[in-house]
Amino acid sequence: MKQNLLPPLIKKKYDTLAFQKFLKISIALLLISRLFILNFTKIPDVLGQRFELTTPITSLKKLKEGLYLFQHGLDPYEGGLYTQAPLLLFLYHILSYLPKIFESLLYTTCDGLIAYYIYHISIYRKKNQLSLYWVKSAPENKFSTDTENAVIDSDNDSEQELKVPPQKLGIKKNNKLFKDISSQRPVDILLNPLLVVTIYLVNPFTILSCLSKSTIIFNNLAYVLFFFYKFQENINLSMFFAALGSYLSFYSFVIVGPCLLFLIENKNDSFKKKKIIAEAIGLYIVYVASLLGVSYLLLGSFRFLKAFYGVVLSISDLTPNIGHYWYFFTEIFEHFRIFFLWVFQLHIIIFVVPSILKFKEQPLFLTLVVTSLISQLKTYPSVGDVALYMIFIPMYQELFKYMTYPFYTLNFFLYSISFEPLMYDLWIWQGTGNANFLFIINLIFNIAQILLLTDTIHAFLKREHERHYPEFRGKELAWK
Amino acid sequence: MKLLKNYFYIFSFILLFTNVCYSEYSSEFHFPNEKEEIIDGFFSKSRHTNNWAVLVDTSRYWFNYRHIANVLSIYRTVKRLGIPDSNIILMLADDVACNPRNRFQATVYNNAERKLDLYGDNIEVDYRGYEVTVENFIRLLTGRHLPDTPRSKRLLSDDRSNVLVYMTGHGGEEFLKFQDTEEISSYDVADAFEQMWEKRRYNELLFMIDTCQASSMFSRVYSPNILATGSSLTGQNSYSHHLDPELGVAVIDRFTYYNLETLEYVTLQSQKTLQYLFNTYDVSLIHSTPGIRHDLFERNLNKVLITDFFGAVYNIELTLKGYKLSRRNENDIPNVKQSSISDDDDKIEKINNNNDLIPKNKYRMIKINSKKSAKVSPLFLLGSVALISGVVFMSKIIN
Repeated sequence: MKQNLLPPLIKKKYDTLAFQKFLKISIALLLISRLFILNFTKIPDVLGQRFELTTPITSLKKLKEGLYLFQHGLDPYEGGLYTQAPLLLFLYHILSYLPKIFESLLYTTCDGLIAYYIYHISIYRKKNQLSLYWVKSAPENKFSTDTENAVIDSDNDSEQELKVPPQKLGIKKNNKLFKDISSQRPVDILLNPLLVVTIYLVNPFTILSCLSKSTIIFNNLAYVLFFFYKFQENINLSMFFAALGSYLSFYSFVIVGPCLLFLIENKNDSFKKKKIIAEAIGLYIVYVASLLGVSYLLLGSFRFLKAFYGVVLSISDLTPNIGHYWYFFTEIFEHFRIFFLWVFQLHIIIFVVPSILKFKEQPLFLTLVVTSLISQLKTYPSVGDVALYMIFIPMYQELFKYMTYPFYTLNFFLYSISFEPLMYDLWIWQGTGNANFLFIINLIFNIAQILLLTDTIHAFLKREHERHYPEFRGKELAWK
Repeated sequence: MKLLKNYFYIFSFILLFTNVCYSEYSSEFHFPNEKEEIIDGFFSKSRHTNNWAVLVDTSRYWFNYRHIANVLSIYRTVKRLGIPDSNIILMLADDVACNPRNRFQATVYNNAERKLDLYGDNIEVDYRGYEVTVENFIRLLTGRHLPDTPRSKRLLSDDRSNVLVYMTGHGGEEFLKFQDTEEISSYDVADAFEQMWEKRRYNELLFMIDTCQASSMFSRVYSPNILATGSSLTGQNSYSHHLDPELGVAVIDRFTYYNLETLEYVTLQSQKTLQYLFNTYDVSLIHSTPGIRHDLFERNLNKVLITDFFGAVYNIELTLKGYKLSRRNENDIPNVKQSSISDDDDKIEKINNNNDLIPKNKYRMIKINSKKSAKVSPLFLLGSVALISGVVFMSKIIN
C-alpha cells in the first residue's frame, strides 16, 4: 500500500553548519566546566549532601565510608553504613591510588560517554523519524485542507524535498510550524542529534547530579549503553549492560522486557524469535550471576545481597529523598509494613507490561515510558533518575505541538523544584516545619513527572492516531 | 575494525588490572607526617590521668568582693575546660552574691561591664563561709579528715592526678590570712605539699596564688613536681584591676585578670603551654612582678600544656589489638563455697561454679590495620578479567 502512504514532511530549519559548530563548542565547554568544577571547587562537597541529588544507595560519602572499611580489612557492609554495589567499591579503590583529578575525570568521562551514546541513539531516532509514513487521505475527505505550506502528494517529490533547500520549494520563512496541525501532514523539524546531546548536558538535573558525584551516573551510563547496543541489535552487549544496570540499581531489570520485544520485532520466523528470546534471557541471567559471583570473589561473602538489594527492596533506610516511600514507611504500623512493601513493589513493575502491550511497535517510545515509570516509582529516586528519562524527551520534539498542557507541567516542575530545598531547610535546619512540608512537595514533583509522562503519551497516541487515520487530522478532540 | 576495537578493549583492561596488581602488592603507605606528630603528642610527656582543682578564697566581707570573683573566674575556667565538679574543691569564705550590699543580687561579676555572671545557677561550693579554715585546708590537702567528712569535701586525688591549687586573699611575707582571724604560713603549705607527695596524692601540682607578697608563700616548698606562680615577689604588693562604680567595690585583681586574658582563649584542644602563659605576664600591666618557681618541676615548661592543669585532657593510648575475654579464668575468680549453717544439711553445701562476673559469650576482637591494606583477592581480578573477556568472546559468537 505504498501509494497510500506519505513520508513525513520534514523541515531542516536549524541544521546550519554554524549552529552545529555552536553546539559542538557548547558540548565541549560543558564537559570542561564539569571537570573544572568537580576538581577545583568545593561544590561537589556541598552538593553531595543534598537530599535531592544523593540517596543512601547513590551517595558518594557513604561509598567513601564503605571504602575506608574495605581498605582497612573490614567488611564494608558492617554497620549498615554502605548500601551500594560492591564493584563500585573496587572502582573507587583503584581511584584512591590515582591522583585526585582522576575522580573528576571519571565523572566527566561518564557524562561524555553518555553524551556520545545519546548522539548515536538520536541518530537512530532520526532515521526512525524519517521512516514513519503517513496515511494519505482520500481526496473527497473534507477535513484535508491544503494550506499555503507546500504539501506534496506524490512520493517521488517528497524524497527529493529533503535534499532541496527550503527556499526553493517556496516555503515561506515565517511559518508557524508549531501551530500547523491542520495540514495533511504536520511539518516537523528534523531531529538534530547534537541538539539532543546539548540538551542533555545542559539540563540542570544532569549537571547537579554529575557535580554531586552521585553514583547514579554509572547506572545511567549502563542504561544508555544498553539502549545503544539494543538499537544496534547486539544482543550480547545489550544484555551485558542491562545486567550491569540491574546490578547497580535493582529496578533496571524491567527494561529487559522492552528490549526483548525490540529484538524480535522485525523477525518473521517464530523459531528465530524464540531463539533470540532464549539467548537474550540466558545471557542476561548468566551475566547477572557472573557479576554477583565476581562481587562474591571481591568480598568473600554473599552478605552484600542482603545489605544492598535488601535495602532497596525493603526500604529500610528512611532518609528523605524526592520519592514518596520514605514518608509513608515512617508512619505505618509495623503490622502492615510487609503488606505495603509488597503493594508498592508491585506498583513499580506493574505498569511495564501494559505499556509493552500498547507500544510494541515503537520501541524507543516504549523505552521512554518504561524508564520514566521506574525513575519515578523506584524506591530511592534521585534527580539523576529524572535526568535519565529526560534524555528521550527532546527526541520527540514533534510531540510538543500535540501536548495539551505543557505550560501547566512546566509550572508544576518549577514550583516543586524551587520549594523542595526550601521545605527541607525548614524542616531539618530551621526546625519550623515538619516532614509533611517536604512530603507535599515530593508529591507535587511526582505529579509534575507524571503529568509530563502522561502528556507525552497522550501526544504520542494522538499523533499516531492522526498518522493512521487521516480523517482525524486537524481536529481537536471533543473529549478531555 | 570491530575486531580491532575489541582487542583494544581487552588490552586496555589487562593493562589496568596489571597496574592495579602492581600497586596493590608493592606499595606501602605511611601516615603523613603531621599525623605522626599528633600521635606522638598523645603519648605526651605528662603522665597524669585525671585532674583536680582546689580553689580557695580566704577573705570575707563585702569589700573583698574581688577575691571571691577571682576564685569564681578560675572555677569557671577550670570547669569550662572539662574538670567536673566532683574533681573541684571550691572554698569560698563569704557569699557576696547574696550579700545585702550587692546591688545585683545572686550575681558575681569579675568585670565592670557585667556581661558574665560567674555565680549563675551551676556552681558547687564545697567549703562555705566559716568552714574555710586553715585546719580544713590542711586536712583537705593531706587527706586526714574526720571520718564523717563527706566525699565532696575530700581531695580524692591519686598519684596520677595533676592538681591545681589556687589561693587568693590578703597575704604578707610568708603568711596568708584566713577569715581575719588566723593565718597559714608558707612552712605549713610546704609541709602539706610534702605530705601529699609522700602519700602520692599528686603527679604534678601547680600552685597559683594571688595576694600581696605572693611568692613568699611558695618559697619554702621542697617537694618535687611542684610548679608555683604568684602575683608578686616578696616585698611587693598586688593590686586590684578596676572597680565597678555601681557595685562600689573592685571586681578583679590584676594578676588574675591578666591570667584570664590568656585563659579565656584556651580551649580543650589548645596546645598552648604554660611557658606561653607565663610569657604573657607583663610587669607594666600587672603592676607587680609575678614570681615563678619551676626548680622543683621536672618537665620543660615549653612542653607543659595549660590544659594539663586547668583542663581535663586525658591521654589516650591507641592499641591496635583488642583483648580476648574468655569465659572463665581459673586463677582469677575464686570458687565461692557456701558454708552450711548446720552439719545436718549437707545438701545445702555447694560449690558455686557459676560466676556471673565474666559474661558468658566470648568476644571476638577484630584486628584493625592502621595502614591501608585491603587485599583484593587475585581470584577477584581473575574473575573480572574472565567476565570481560567472556563478554567480548560472546559478542563474537552471537553476532
